[in-house]
Amino acid sequence: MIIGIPQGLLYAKYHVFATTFMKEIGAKTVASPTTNKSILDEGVRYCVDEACLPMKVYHGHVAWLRGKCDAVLIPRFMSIRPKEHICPMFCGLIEMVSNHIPDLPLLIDTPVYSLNRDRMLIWAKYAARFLTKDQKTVDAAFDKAIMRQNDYKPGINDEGFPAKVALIGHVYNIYDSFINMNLVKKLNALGIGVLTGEYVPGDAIEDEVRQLYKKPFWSLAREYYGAAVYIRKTKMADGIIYLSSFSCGIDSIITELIKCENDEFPFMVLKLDEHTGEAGYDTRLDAFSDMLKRRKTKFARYVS
Amino acid sequence: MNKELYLGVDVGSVSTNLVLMEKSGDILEKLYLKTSGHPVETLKNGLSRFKAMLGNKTEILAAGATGSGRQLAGLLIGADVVKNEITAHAVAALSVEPEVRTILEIGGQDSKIIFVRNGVVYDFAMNTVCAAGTGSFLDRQASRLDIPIEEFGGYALRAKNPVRIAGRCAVFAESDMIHKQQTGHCNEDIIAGLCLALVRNYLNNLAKGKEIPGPVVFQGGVAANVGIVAAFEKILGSSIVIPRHYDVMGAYGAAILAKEHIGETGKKTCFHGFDCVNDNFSVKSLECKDCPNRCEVVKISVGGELKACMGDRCGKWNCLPKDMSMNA
Amino acid sequence: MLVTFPNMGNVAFAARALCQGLKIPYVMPEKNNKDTLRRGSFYAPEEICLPFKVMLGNFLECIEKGADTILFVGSCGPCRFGEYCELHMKILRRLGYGNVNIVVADFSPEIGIDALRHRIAAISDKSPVGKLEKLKAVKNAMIIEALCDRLDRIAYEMAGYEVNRGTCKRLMYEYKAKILESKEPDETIAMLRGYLRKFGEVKTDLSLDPVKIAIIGEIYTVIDPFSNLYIEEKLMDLGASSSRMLTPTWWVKDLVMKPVKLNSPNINRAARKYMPFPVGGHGKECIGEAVLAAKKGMDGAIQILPLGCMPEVISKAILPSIRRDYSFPFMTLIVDEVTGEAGINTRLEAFLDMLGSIKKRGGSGRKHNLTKMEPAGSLLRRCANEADRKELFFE
Repeated sequence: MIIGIPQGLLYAKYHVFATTFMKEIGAKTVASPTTNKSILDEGVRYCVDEACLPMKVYHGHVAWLRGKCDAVLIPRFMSIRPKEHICPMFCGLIEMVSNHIPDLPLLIDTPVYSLNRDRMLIWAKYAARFLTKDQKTVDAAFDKAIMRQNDYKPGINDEGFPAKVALIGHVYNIYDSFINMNLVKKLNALGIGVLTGEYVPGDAIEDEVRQLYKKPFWSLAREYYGAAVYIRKTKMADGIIYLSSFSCGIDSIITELIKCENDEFPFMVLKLDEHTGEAGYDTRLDAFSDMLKRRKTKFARYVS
Repeated sequence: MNKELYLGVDVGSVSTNLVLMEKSGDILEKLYLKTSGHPVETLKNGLSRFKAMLGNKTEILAAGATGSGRQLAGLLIGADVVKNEITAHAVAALSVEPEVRTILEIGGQDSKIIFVRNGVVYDFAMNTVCAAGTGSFLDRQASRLDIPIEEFGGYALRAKNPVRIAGRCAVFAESDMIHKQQTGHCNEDIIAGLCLALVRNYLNNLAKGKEIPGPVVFQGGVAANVGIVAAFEKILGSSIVIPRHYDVMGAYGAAILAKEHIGETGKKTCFHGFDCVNDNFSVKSLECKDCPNRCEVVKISVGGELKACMGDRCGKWNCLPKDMSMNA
Repeated sequence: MLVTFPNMGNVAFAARALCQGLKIPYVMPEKNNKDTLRRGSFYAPEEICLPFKVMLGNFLECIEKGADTILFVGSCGPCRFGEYCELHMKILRRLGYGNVNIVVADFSPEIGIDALRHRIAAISDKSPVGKLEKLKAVKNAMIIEALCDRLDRIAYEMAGYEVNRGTCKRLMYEYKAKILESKEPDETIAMLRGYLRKFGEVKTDLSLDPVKIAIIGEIYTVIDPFSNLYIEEKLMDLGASSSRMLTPTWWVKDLVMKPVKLNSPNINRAARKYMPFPVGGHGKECIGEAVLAAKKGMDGAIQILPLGCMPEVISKAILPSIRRDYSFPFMTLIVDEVTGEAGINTRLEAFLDMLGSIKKRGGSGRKHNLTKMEPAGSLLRRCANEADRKELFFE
């Protein structure tokens, strides 16, 4: 059996687990290619207009996998931490995909309720039911997949650049270089190193979030907010770029919360959608990098 | 004997169209005028031109009004039927092409798609938010490229390699076009690309996930643009029908509806005559401050006497004549 | 302390009655209008949904009139509504209203019952009346809410049957104006019961067969007439009969029943096939109501959602399947700051025309057997008797 894995949304974070697990229980896997123009076009064609760009892109990836596999793995993320939520669009993603893309193969849409070991094992058993019912195989595959996933540490922390900027935002925006138009490379070319939120310690995030009147109930929002505020406080970077998708409900709140806390620290929101013109995008990056560097030299002079 | 005719009026934001229909259902005369922000003036102008054309030897049996200014127009001329333009367009297309299944309509400010099954509208969609792809957007692009709008479509047909343009939003499409111009593409390729992008966007917006069954009728002012027509045929993969009077189909539909209405009820028309819109008319608008709703009330008076009011929610100002109730 | 609350349909009437009952001074927010929205959206984040902007506008208006405490409800996601209070606080603080206290009644288990009790005490301790009086104030507020919802429901539904077009709408406007004049909750209740009787006396023609439309979608925008461009009133003007399930009364009931999983079982059952998992907000309800409306033999449905509403976007994606399975037409109305009504009117009228002509042709040829359909106007016949019923809230 060939299992298709769409290379969109949280793929960037959890693909190691998914691929390893499926391989270990005896399936062949095929992942859609990294996002390209035709995938985006297909996605825009099939997805509801009002959805955000990453959702549209995901539709494109699923559409690409048709005819190339026997089943598509689309985990339904209901939540990834207990008592917290994830974006509502994730909960209804399966329905959106299955109602709009014709000729789909079998969808493995087992819901994920939490990423702790016990809940994930239940998930694994259920998701594996099409391939094997053998308990031992599943257990062994699960252990191996968890191990590999734990060894996999995504994140960027460039050293040796004159300035450094923290890139905050959804992983599917940061690691999809087609959607973000090679943002990391562009920043590097401008002489700016990139730091991603994975390098902020978990406890620090927790401390920052506790300052709020109400703890954000979206796991992702909690991470981004905490990371951004911590980076600003400790000056782990010289500025923050928030990579946001147009019409993302979570981003519209989080960027605003960060802005409220933010006074002097350089902070820029880059909005992405399928129409974002590259020329204007480059101009903004250019200007932001100039600002960072100028501030740095001015500040250095002031101190000395 | 006096010639018996039916009048249809379509007051839109960009154009005001008038149609005189014969008893047989054929169009005797039609007028396509630019509204230019003065619906009352334009209507008056159109009616007096009709009068000059026909002399006194005619009798109007019924009158219908449609378009975004239908309420106002209906009051002014004394229309028997005031209908929304989607229904009017569907009725008109059905009378031209009884088998029609899909109606594409692109006007000056908005675009619509109407699906018909067994002679009855069963689904429709209308785009009012984004101006990309509508007549006024094409007009603006034509003047920006310094090409008369009449020749705009012809350019598209001569293109060899249409460029890719993002068509979803007017602002994006325009900046994309400028960018393509600056990188040296020729006008033909840019215009063809624009036509394709706008058609793709239209279908994406209005007909997402829906089948487009034929026969397809394409009407509205933009149907004159051969570039857009070609783009539709290319993307749909089938030929499309353009009615002879594609530009006044709304008014035509209003005339048909008026004829039906009079035929069904057997009433006499309320039409005030071709001179009805004269200088005695005045239209004033005010913001009612009596409650927080802040309705924008439009007052219409003739010779200083208040004839009708509309636009309020609570019904306090509402003094529409009884026989002219909103025939929605 | 001067209390205020956001305006959302009839909720403000109930909140007003609560304050009256507790003898706490309050500022009644003005009916939502263009100025409210203009003010709210000026300070609100660009991409936030419409309810946030309108509510912020309410708050700013009332703060200018001297309010220093805002009563608000909360939730714990996954929809954006749960984050409203945090953002409202930050924006008000930035505008120099740091002294304004927002009291959030958050019923989610994550907050905990003690915190909730603590927050409610902040208000109720300021009230000079005794415990029994307090309970009575809460009860009266709930009854007023239920009565208002009932009156609206009758008005919207009866409008299709009335002999003199506009009677129901006039009565509805009348009672809403009178509520603002009354000083005591008891007086309000008596007045509202009187209006129930008046609706019973409206001349109706039950042989009429108006187009029946279900209003579904995001709760704030379906309940607040200003946000949905007065769509229900427009339907009244056009002689259609409309009904919606989501009301503030329903919301309270849903909230109370949720922990024991007895909330709206019919809606949940109807939605299960299309949306097996909740998506937050009222996305599941929207789907369930569409299915129920189709089964009940309504002619069509109108979905209303604020631009960018995440749960409703998912529902919107699913609705075409319901349309296909039940041949049930619907229209989607996305509302935002645009207040231009010409386009909406055209679409609405065309939608009614379409439903009317499908009806004339002998229905849409639905495959499914219709479940029992309420006989025309049974609601109307009941309402005269209901005027004297005591327990209206939990039907």
